[in-house]
Amino acid sequence: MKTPPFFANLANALVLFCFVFLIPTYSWALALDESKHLLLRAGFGAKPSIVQQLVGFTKSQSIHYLLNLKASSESLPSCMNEALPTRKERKAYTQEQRRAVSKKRRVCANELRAWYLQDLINDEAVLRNQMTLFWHNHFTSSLRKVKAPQLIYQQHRRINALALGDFSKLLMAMVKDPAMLIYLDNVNNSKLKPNENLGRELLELFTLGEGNYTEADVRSAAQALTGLGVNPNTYQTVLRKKRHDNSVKQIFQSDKIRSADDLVSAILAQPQTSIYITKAMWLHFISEEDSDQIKRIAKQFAKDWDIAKLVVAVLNSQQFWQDQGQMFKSPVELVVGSAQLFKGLKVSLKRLLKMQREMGQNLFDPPNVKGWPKGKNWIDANKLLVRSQLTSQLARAISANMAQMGAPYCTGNMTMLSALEVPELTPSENSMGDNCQKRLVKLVTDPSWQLK
Amino acid sequence: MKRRDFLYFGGATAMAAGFPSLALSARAKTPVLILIELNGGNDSHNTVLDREQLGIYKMLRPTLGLADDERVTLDKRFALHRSLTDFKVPWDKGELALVHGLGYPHANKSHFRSIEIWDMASAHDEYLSSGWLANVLPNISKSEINALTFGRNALPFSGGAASHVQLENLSSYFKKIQRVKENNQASSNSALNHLLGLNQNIQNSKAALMRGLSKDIKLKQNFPNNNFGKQMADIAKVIRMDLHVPAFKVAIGSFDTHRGQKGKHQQLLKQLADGMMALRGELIQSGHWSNILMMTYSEFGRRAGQNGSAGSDHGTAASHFLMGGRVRGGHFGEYPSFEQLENKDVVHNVDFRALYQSVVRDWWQQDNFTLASGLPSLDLIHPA
Repeated sequence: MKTPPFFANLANALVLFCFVFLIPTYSWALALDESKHLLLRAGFGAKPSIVQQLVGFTKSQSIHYLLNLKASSESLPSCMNEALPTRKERKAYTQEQRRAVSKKRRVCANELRAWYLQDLINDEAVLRNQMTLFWHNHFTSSLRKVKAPQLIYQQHRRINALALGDFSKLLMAMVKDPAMLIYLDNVNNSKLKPNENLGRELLELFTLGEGNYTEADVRSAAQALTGLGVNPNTYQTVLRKKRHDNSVKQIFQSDKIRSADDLVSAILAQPQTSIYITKAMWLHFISEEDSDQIKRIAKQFAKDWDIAKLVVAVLNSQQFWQDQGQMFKSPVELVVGSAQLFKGLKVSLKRLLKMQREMGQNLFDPPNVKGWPKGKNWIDANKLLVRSQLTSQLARAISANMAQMGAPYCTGNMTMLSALEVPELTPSENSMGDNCQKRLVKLVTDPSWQLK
Repeated sequence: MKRRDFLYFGGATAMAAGFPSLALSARAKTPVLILIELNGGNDSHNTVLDREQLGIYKMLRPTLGLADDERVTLDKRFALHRSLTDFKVPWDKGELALVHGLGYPHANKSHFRSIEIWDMASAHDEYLSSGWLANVLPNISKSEINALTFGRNALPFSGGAASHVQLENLSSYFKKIQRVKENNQASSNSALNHLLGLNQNIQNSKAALMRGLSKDIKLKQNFPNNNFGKQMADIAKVIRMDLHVPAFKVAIGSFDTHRGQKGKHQQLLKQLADGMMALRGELIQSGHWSNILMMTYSEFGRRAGQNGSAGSDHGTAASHFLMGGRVRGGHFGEYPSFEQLENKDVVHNVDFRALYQSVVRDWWQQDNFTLASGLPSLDLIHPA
């Protein structure tokens, strides 16, 4: 089913008869709790505005509707437009200037994070944003190491543009991305003195997965990447011929490669690459692995590397629709989802970012090259405590501003808000006062609010 | 996926408190193990130096190698990185053991997989679901809480019967748990159950810490004012509360020094030594020292030779430290030979699981504790 949404009503009206006979059951119109499930996983929560749009759509149509939502963007912090210092300028810094520059960089980095969080909250293109975060967590780089927020932003732009595009292009873009080259030390990787960091992580974490390559492959990959660095004045990617080892290297037993381009082609020719990426995508949306399904979808994916099609295949699987409430919201999903559902939440971006960091997800700063935690590793005792602080704050905000934040849900269907059943009020809680407010407070402070 | 344990409560459990305490009466001091993770892969060739191999060491590491003034003599054969100078004090008292050549066959060079292998105490191709201490800790003491992890990675305690929590520091943790309420919900949803289990662990830790904090412990020692130092101070505090928590874990890093290693490594080792020595001083004064065992570990050591960017790449075997009041001081295992490299890496000669198994058996008298068959026992501990 790939009917574009604007044909949907027409198609339904005209060929209803055919539908009855030809379309398997899973493409019937979405039930409300299915639409909620889709939006909790492929978006950040069941925003009433989008739920409205999905009424009458089949599962497949809903997925395509989300894929096609147009992105809007917040205006960038002005420090993003400031030029980075040339090598000569950097060399001439006094101690004092150096301190001032690094302070400015920190301020700018925080502005960039605030910009991104605001963008995630306001932007309608929820599935694209989910995928952008997914790739940030896959092709990791951190502000802590890269330092220049401008380079991290440029990487973000590249990821965002290709988040639902061609994986082979995304992979090539990331291997040659200045922030990545700095983050994984490839700027220091030369013919005479190879540095394996990027070569190793490229195979281990970005494409093949641990156990699917040899140490010899790592060395060959590192050699193919020698000389690929960043110009110290323009901050563009350069290939320094003198530092590049252009000899023929053997990789994956029989492949012969010289350059980074050859390396990427050799990696893409390994069937394991599509399996590894498909598995990562599967586990982003579904709590349990299914290796047969993953292999089947991977085979298709390897034909055209179309990420959007891969997302559709995963979301169309039966396992996805049977997995309701079995996953944990990431800190960003928790914050963004709460802020989207409860408009008028007056907590400063700065505070939200701080809590996100304490919950383990500092935007543009994953803890290490493997990225932020996944699955149940998101939450330990300490992080659960920060999550409860956040939801208590949310509960207080709702109570203080029922008219704007809570009321819309008092008349409508509250079960749309949370992945699991809304916990019932106890008889004593039920006896007096504003029950809607109490139910909302109970809803967002219940552990089930952490689930999707 | 293989499972060594048959007790799997998925992150919980309140049941831990109900386990029979086999070894110790409530009055006796509980032997405490403090795991110190050198996160990122510590360059142990620049931490402990075998001077008998100095010639080849200098060839492998012409600029990265420790010069005369960057190391301090430990005994006739070995030297330590200068940052570890203070380790001479416990060394001279026979309270410091160096275990050389720790590793495992078919070394894995992925940070993530290799630390998992160490934390689960698995073979290189074995995938286990619980940490090496996850099921033994409830046997050690009657404390409501079996382990505290400060900072990253609680894998050694995870996935089994141990009730454990992870925190950054004591004061902020304690502030946060004040408002946490009991939640006796039960659910068929495993994700929700995981959260309820964590909530139960928080309750357990709250009960214990409430008692402990009422004792208002004041530390006598100055702990270094860095993250590791502060966390070591918190650990010393909890030990002095006599809550009988048998295990702690703390991490310091990143030791992943691919580039510009010297300054960073020197700084990290200094922090490590200062933190460990402060804890030692504190617990000698308080009378706990004979029941304390600190043990360092790391996902791997580093390549024998230096790399092209004044650093070192991922390697294999490494030396590690055990320090404590009842440690049998000295050298254990053979320092790997720089002449017999395999793919440019030194070869391990002590399986880390032999170390783990010996520690659990001898430190906590768990004679039947077995991580794999045929592991030799290392005689590292003086009996109480």
